[in-house]
Amino acid sequence: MWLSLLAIILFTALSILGAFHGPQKAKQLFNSIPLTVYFFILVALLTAGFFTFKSLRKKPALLMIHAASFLILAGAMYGSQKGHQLAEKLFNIKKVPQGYMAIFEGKSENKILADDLQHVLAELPFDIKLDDFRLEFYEPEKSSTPLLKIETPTGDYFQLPAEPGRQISLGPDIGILKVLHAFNNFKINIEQGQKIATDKPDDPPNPTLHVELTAPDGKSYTRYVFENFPGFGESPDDLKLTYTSQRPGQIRDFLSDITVIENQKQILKKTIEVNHPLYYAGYHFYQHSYDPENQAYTILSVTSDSGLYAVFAGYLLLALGIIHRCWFRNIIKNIKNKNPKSEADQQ
Amino acid sequence: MTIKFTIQGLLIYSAMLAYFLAFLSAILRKQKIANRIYLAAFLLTLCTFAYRWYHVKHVPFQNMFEVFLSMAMMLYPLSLLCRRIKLDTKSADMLIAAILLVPAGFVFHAQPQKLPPALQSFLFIPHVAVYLLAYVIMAKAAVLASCQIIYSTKTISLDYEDKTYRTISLGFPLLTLGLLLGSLWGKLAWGDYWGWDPKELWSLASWLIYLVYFHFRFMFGKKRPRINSLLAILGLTFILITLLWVNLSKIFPGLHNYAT
Repeated sequence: MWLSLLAIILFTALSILGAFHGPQKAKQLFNSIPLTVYFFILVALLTAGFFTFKSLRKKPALLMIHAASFLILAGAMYGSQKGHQLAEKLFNIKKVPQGYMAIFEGKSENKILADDLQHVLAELPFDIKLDDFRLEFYEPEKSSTPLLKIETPTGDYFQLPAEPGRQISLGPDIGILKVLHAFNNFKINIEQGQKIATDKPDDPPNPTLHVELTAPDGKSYTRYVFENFPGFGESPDDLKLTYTSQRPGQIRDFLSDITVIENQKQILKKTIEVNHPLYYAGYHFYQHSYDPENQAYTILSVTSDSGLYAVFAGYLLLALGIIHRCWFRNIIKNIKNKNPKSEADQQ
Repeated sequence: MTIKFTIQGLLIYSAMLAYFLAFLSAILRKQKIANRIYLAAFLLTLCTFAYRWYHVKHVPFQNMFEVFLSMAMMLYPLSLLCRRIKLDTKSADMLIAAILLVPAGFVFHAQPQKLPPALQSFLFIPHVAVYLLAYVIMAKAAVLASCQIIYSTKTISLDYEDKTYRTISLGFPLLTLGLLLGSLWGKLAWGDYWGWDPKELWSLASWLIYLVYFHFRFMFGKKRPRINSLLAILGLTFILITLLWVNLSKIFPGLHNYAT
């Protein structure tokens, strides 16, 4: 019993240590050889517990909890990198524990790639074709105001509601920036030899801001900030100005419409999105990343299901065992305690 | 520290004051008045919760402001349940509710946020709800454990020890469900049921420390009440780290950092 207690305390300490090291190093730590030995000892302790303590065999809740721990540990070990290697050596089961697939729109792919998206880990016996990748957005807030974002040469960021008359101080070295005018559809007219900026509502929109920068020495100049052409125009300062006339809606979902093709036959069609992976031939395929510029390709993460069902069966047993032990045992006890009393009352 | 001059903010401050007055009335042994104020405070918190839900258009479990508001809202129904199972700690509950509203009222921003893709899952509500309920119950257990240590020389201390054990027994299945549902959700959303993320590891450490508590108590029963109580308090400390430090500190970068 002392050994079990020490093993749990050690597991607690290792979890805390792992938390301080970040996910990558924590994964390496828990997959290292000393910790593999530790997990084997934990499994051995659980097995020994069944033979040593009668209560573990006779009390259903305790039996469920400890059998669940055994299942979870065994399933997790089988699903690990080393578990996959062992399965390949012993049973010739060739599966990749984890990888990625990069697929362009309209193209088919069967290669599972490493983290660098270059090195091929394995080839699947079927293809996945990307029919379409798309993003869905929340509706932009109606109340959202246009924004002017300012990045200074020193890397400081400011933002300002892009409304005429609004101004912001950019520090003692740069000065004050003021919004003079906001154009929905900026055009230049030449009237009597002079360039005059106007709004032309009928043409395609060209949202533009006219701003004024007043330097600390009192000198000021103006410039235009085009939403559709960021960086365009004369700029005597080193400020990077970005104008957003309407805040874009936040991304609501990433969706990849795919087709599974095996032996040149279309097997199934599915839309993979966050929280809705595809499960096929012992692998789960998840929406992982995408082409941020043109949305021309999608990146799916691929994980093997080895050991997964043992782990989930363990979860179910663990939950049932703990609920039985902590909640139902007391309820049953209370009912048993009440019954003799009520029977005595009746007599 | 920010003061919220909004309807939501005013409701929170009123509820906070009411919880505190209820607590004062309870310790002055004005039980009937305390009960009425406690109910009023709960109704105010419930109104704030419903208002928030309507405003953000999803169950308000997403960020720290919403988490603390929801936990405070859970206390009154929990007090009623605990009274039925002879674990009545109503005056402590009043104080806990008042304390839980302090971060919602003064520390965390109430800016409405839309749910990012990963949070749009059927597991969002059950995972967060069971965890928040478990956290509140474990906070009650830690208060009882502190009472056991304070009154360690008196015979009442063993009564507190027993209540601590029964309260932890009430909360532990919820803590387990929270961990397991989170793992299941991780598998659905990110592809792995365990990602070695700092939040996951601290959640596991919190769960394991209660496992240590149960094993230790199984070995020694009530013979070492002080160690039992210290483990219960350590459990709450780990929960606070999981809930606050991991999300707010830059020491723990990970997948759960959206929940600020």
